[in-house]
Amino acid sequence: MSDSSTERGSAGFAAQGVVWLVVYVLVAVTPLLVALTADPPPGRSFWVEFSVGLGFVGLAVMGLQFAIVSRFSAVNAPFGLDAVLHYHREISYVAFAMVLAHPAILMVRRPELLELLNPVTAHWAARFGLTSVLALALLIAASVWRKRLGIRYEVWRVTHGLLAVIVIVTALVHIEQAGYYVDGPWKRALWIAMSAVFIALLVNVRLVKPIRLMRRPWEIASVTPERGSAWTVALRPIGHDGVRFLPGQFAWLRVDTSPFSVQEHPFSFSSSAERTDEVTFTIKEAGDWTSTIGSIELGTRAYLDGPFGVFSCDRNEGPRFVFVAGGVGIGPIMSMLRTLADRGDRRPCLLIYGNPTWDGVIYREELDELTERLDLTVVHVLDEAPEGWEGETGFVDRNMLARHLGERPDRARYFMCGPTAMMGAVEDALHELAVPGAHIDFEQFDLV
Amino acid sequence: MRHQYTNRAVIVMGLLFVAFSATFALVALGGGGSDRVGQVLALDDHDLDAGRSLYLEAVGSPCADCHSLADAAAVSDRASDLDQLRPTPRETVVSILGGHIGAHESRNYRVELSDRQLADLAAYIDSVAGG
Ligand SMILES: Cc1cc2nc3c(=O)[nH]c(=O)nc-3n(C[C@H](O)[C@H](O)[C@H](O)COP(=O)(O)OP(=O)(O)OC[C@H]3O[C@@H](n4cnc5c(N)ncnc54)[C@H](O)[C@@H]3O)c2cc1C
Repeated sequence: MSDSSTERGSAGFAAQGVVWLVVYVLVAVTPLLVALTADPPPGRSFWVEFSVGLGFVGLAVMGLQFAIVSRFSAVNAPFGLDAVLHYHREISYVAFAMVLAHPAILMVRRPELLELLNPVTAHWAARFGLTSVLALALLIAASVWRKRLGIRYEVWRVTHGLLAVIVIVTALVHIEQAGYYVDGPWKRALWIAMSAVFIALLVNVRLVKPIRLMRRPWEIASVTPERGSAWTVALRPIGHDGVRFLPGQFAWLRVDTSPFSVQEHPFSFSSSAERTDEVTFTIKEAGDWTSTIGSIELGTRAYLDGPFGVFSCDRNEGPRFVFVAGGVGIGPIMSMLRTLADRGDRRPCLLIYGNPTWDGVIYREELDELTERLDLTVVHVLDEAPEGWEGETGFVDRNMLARHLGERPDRARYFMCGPTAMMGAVEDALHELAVPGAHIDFEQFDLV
Repeated sequence: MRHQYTNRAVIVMGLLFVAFSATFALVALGGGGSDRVGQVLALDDHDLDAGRSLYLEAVGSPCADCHSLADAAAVSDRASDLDQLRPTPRETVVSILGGHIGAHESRNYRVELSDRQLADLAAYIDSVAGG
């Protein structure tokens, strides 16, 4: 790909991103616009209407959360799914604050309204409003403290979805019951349409998408043990043309369950993007599910939802590439290296690759071979060096980077995937070496 | 990290949403399209006795059921005490027509009370408890 076409590509993504942001803001404020059209009722006081405005927007933002996590590839493409999920998490605090401010403002101004908090005596509008806020508080608490509360990922995910539906539905009933700003055919139409879109999103994620995945089954073609208690799983498409992805992207993988199940895990493709007849994932044993990889039988059905992600040398082109991997973080980077090799790319590549031990270096042998097919230098960094080791040890820091980066480190494009602490430290060091932030890309394996 | 941009986007969105809500409140207060409040307030020659009897026995659920008002010998703590609240006629009319945060909405005052009745009622409350 030539430089100019890449620039056009990223300009295209930037434009798409702006369009999505504008659409997002418009949808978020639609309830306000519609409330004010077609013979609105008299305004009460600034604070009452302000609080109502916050409540309406808060609800719309929460409804939009369903669209955000629906994994529409067009929406994710400009931002990257991890950024979208990060936004999903952070904006939920904003929505929660708005939704809390709605009753709080009213109650500060008229303390007698505190009685609406008593569900026994309150009217239905207040009861539903209260339920919605409580469900939202529970949902956020369970997400923020999931690990501390010892909630299993799958249990959390199902609960999260259920609570989210409760939040939205009770909020809609609350608005209907409060009855202000919902009179008249226009406003009814809007609220019915908003509810319908919401239901459509649910149906899409829970029904349409699984059915589409079901039509494109895969089978396990091989499961190969790797160094460092990892496995490489190869999948072959059954009766379809597979998946086209950019090297470095990832997909959600389901093995031996139906596409309707919530038991799915994200993994980066580790195979070359130039190969579509077979894709591979390199998976480290990290918990309940990943520990069972080794016992998957050949021919088992699997489903892939993807590709996702923006971590790719195809999306951040430059005159040379520097990859920094830690442990199984080599997966997406391996995909980039293999792809570059298959394309006969001659640009210089440097791989700085950290592992606990020499024996645990995933792809140690194949990386050696790749140095013949690519202009590639591999720098191994070990925690525990074996006898006679003359290579690097310890943390990847500024000095180590400076030793290997050569001239003009700012011109290279950087791709990092590994433990969060390592990526943070390397990023800081790169900034000190005057590498612009736009040249540094990450993949994080812990989404939640 | 890319998340720096995302965090900024979150902050910008939050500010936008608050600004939109405030604008919404200002536009809504500007009277919107409904002139009924204005029409009611424009009426004069109020019949304060009629207002008082509406207070005590308006359609279905009269004001006195929930709102204390010494002049009408109404005692209830279900809603705000009008002797303390001292609403202006505008506040009274807006509250009855628009409902105030839930409690009035379930009643159909908007349909059941005429402009004349609303005007008398507001004038009566203003005459005995007005601010
Ligand atoms: C974009 C991305 C790419 C990834 N690529 C790879 C890869 O190439 N190779 C690799 O070995 N690992 C990869 N991971 C990590 C991998 O998804 C988790 O290690 C795996 O899901 C753990 O599942 P478990 O049930 O074995 O572990 P558990 O013990 O159940 O969970 C360990 C932790 O993993 C996370 N996790 C668990 N289940 C899920 C799930 N369904 N979805 C998301 N996160 C989950 C949770 O934070 C959990 O606390 C990637 C993760 C992400 C987000």
